[in-house]
Amino acid sequence: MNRLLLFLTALALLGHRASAQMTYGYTLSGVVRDSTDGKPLVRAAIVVDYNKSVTGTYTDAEGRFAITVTSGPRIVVVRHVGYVPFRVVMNIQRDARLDVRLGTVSSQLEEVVVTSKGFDRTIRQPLLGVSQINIKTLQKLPSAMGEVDILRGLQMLPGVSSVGEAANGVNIRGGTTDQNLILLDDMPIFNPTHMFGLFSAFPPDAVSGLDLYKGNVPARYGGRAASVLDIALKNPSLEKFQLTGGISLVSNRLTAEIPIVKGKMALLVSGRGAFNDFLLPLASKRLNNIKANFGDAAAKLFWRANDRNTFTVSGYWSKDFFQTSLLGSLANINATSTQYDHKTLNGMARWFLAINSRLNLQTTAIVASYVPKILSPELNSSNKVVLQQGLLQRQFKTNLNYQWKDHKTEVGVNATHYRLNPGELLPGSSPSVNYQKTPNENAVELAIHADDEMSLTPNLAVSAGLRYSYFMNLGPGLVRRYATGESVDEVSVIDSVRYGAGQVTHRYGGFEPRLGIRYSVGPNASVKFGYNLMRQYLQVVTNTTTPLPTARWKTSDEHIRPQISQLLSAGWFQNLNENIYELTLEGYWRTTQNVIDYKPGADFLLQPYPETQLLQGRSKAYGLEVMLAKKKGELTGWVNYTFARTFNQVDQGASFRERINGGDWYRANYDRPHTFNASLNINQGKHHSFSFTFAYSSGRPYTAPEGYIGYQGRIYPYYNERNQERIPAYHRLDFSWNIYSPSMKDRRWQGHWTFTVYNLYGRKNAYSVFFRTENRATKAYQLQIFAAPIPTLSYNFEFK
Amino acid sequence: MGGQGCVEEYDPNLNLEGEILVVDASITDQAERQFVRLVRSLAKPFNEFVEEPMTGAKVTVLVNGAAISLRETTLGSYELPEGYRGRIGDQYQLRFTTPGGQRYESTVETMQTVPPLNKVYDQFNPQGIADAQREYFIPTHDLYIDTQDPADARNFYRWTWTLWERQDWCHSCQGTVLIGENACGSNAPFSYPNAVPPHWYDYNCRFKCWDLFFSRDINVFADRFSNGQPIIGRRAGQIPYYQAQGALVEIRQQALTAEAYRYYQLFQAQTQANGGLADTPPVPLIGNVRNLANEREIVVGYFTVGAVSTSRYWLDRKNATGTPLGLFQAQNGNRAPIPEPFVRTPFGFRPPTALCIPSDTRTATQPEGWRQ
Repeated sequence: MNRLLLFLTALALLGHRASAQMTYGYTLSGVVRDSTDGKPLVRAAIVVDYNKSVTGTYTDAEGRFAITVTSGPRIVVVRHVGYVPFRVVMNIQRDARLDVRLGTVSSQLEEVVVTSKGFDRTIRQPLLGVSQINIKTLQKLPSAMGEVDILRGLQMLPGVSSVGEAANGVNIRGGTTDQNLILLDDMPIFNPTHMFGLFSAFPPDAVSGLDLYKGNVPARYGGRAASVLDIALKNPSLEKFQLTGGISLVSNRLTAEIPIVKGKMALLVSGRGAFNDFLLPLASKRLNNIKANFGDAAAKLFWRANDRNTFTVSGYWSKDFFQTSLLGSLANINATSTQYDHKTLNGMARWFLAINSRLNLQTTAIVASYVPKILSPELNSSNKVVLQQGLLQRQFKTNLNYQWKDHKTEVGVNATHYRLNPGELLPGSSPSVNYQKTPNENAVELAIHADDEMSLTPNLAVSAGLRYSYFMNLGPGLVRRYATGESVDEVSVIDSVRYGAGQVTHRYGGFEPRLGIRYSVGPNASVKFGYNLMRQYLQVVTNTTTPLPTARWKTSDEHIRPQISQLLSAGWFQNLNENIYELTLEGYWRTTQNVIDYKPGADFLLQPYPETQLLQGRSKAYGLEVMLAKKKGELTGWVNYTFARTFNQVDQGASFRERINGGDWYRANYDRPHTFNASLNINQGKHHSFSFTFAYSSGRPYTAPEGYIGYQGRIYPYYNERNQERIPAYHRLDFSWNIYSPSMKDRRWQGHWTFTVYNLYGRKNAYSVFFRTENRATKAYQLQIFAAPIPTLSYNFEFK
Repeated sequence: MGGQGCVEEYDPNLNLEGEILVVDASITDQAERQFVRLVRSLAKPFNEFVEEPMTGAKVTVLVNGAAISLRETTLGSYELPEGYRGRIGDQYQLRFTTPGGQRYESTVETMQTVPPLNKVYDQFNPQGIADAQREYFIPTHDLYIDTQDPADARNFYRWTWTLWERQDWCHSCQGTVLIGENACGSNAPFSYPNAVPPHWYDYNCRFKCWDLFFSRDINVFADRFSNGQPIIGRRAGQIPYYQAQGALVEIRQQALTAEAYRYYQLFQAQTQANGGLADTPPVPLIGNVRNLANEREIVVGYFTVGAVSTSRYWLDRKNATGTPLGLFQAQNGNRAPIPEPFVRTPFGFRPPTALCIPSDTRTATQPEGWRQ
């Protein structure tokens, strides 16, 4: 920690003119010039750092300087406003000369890569609400317990939030966690987290970057109502064997890139395993008694058959085992504890055919399977009762892309088959439990789409897309009919219809227009407008604040209508100071039909007719997002502020069980009006980089009692309206320090250390507020997840 | 790092108002008190809790359509005629009219049959009851039961227990001494109050005395995954390990209707089983009693009708480890009993012993099944 303080102090001093006078030593002199035109730089600062003290001078009108220094190794820094600082370690044994050419910051490549394809992509592209994030940016963000975390990193962007540190997913512009389409190399991810939201489920070393579409969504994407998170796996190097890896408090990682046929075929294999659950109590006492292991792995085989054909095969595997007292047990199974076990296994194969230089065809086949289980060990027995669910998605799609002179066109078709096992109770050798199975759900989603991006005038560009999706829920199955106008429950059933295998039980479909317009206002600014309509036929039904990994997925059917979301957005995009800064201002308005809610006391477990437990309503969300990013220079980063609101309304009937809060609009669980994020990265040459992130957001709503009642000898809270109070505001500062060793630069083995402190000032952020009845009385509590500063040291290496 | 617990008490600073009618009513097939208790709970700022018994209500229970009037025995408590027992298969409905003329009635509830308790057994659990912070634990004996679920019907269960513990200390005086058998007062010059703050003296019982404890947790179960199967290893209660000597427990297994089960299950989920990573937002607990003139009024409580089977279990506590806190200590904020010093006075020896005064939580009658 002392060394850290020293560096921070030195950092603060470097910017100032040092006043210490040297009375002996050697002279260091030279000229400082602009690297492009060679003109001398006036009043450039020369700072010499030695043994905890600093001295310095400025260049004169001809760019010349001279400074007296003592002998020995010295760090010399040359800096000038608008230029990239120059650093060197000099071993001064006699008078020395140093001529420096400084490059301008504006000619530098972008450091913070929230947008990475071309320096003015943000203002030129007709799409808005698109964030491109390079994995390098995420790697520099301070992370909890040293794990590079995509979902946590995303929450530093405007419009991305969650219900808290243990949220099982993110909420994007007022959408629920299951309204985000999360793709890893085109393979859908149904559970994006490990350990109930504490860590993201993506092997960080295998990821190259991600695109987040929270505004305009291209027509090639469909199936979710709010956003698309498209994560790309790295392509393996075709030339050179590489090994990267790391060790942190939580997990161990290893990634290998193996050329199989040089220049033609290579394989990437990446794995991560976390078996260090014995360390968790160090982070929080509340994590005592937790048994938690997880692992994930990704592989990608890339084969360039010839100039026109390439083939890619990707796979992804993820597994979790979790036991804690923080999660409820399965009602009506007599068990000594509750264990969660879930597994994802995905595969993808893609053929890319370049028909000619302008036309190409991409054909992809995808299989994704997600199997969550709840295990209930029985008393005085080695048997575990297993509740198993399953989701199998099989998909085929093909896209044709054509690059015209001034526009590009894409057309494609897509067919997806879903098979859901909503629940199967496996008693094992249990003497008490009966085997049970909820009937499988089968459904097919078909889509065709066309996208066109064109420049109409030099100032006006349009991205227009149209998707038509068609959904069929298939038999076999028994579909109930309920009396119209009555509450859908066991009492109002009037009839049921049996469908055979493959018979269509219900169909939905419709157009999904997507439009983005960009108008340039001068060379450095543009205004954009966007409209999106998206349909979602597969969703999570849950009654918890954040869905459990075991939450039930449900296809739309005769009773559960698909969710339809419309998003209107508009924005102003401005590049400042030769593209060093970028200012964006975006506003949106979103409405969603048929959002899913639930009746009081709803139970979806092994429920063959979930419509009797569910309600549907509508949702509205609006917000304003402001972001300023500094993309180049020694100090890079961004600050943003978001104002966002999300409300739901559920009013399906007159009875108390069919409406929420009397049918009025009420705040969504993740409605957090004010959010402020800052992320700063300070590059200290080749040796160090420092990052700070700060996050603030309003507390999320919770349901507080409206009174207390005495009943059967105890005092209980009495609840009525949902989400009428807020938990305390959330804020947190994180710090990370990357230590590189430049002396190893030319070696094949390179290592670096990352020292991270998550929650630097130890804010005890509330994750939830709850009222527990103990003995006779009721007390209010707040549950905190990371309530103390969490320092972590991790080691990362690269072998080339 | 990590020195702090992760659950902390929280001051929600709520401004509560309003009042709620609470109906606590139960009819069983046992020879016991069959009662209806009507209370108005008044919401006040946090942790101030006021309840007002509703006296003077006109309360009847319809048994298969025939009305039986209930008599108010204590304020707000109404009882069926003494000796009345419910009968399996009979239908019951609660009706009452408040003194203000508001009429309420419950749904019609049918008394369900309940299987007998086949087996009761216990396991010592050193971390039985945890506080919300999970920092302090009270060791318990966890009681488990086995029963046979009938195959011909959907069954719903609720378990409660009553515990008898031997009590050695029958009276305590603060700043005074025991006068006679059950009163504290001044007895100078023959004896003086304890001079050491907080000035307690505690007095042994003259005869055998038992304290009664009741289960507080809601513990319900449905046979939806085990219809017709033996129910094995269901935890029916956790008995705190306060003293090493044996104790007697009566376990009650009550049949519930499906709706009653749903009610208690929701009650349990949102008041006892919450505080996890993924709670269900709580909802109003609307029971089966409604205001006939105002459908929107929320009435808390469930008119519970169901047969009961009981089993008494001698908890010998021989499997316990560690030193218990002491029953007296547990009941008196960890304070050890302080007997008055032994002296001889003109009226005999002091200290005197105290009488075991029967109450809802104390009895001088040896419970059936007591050993030792």
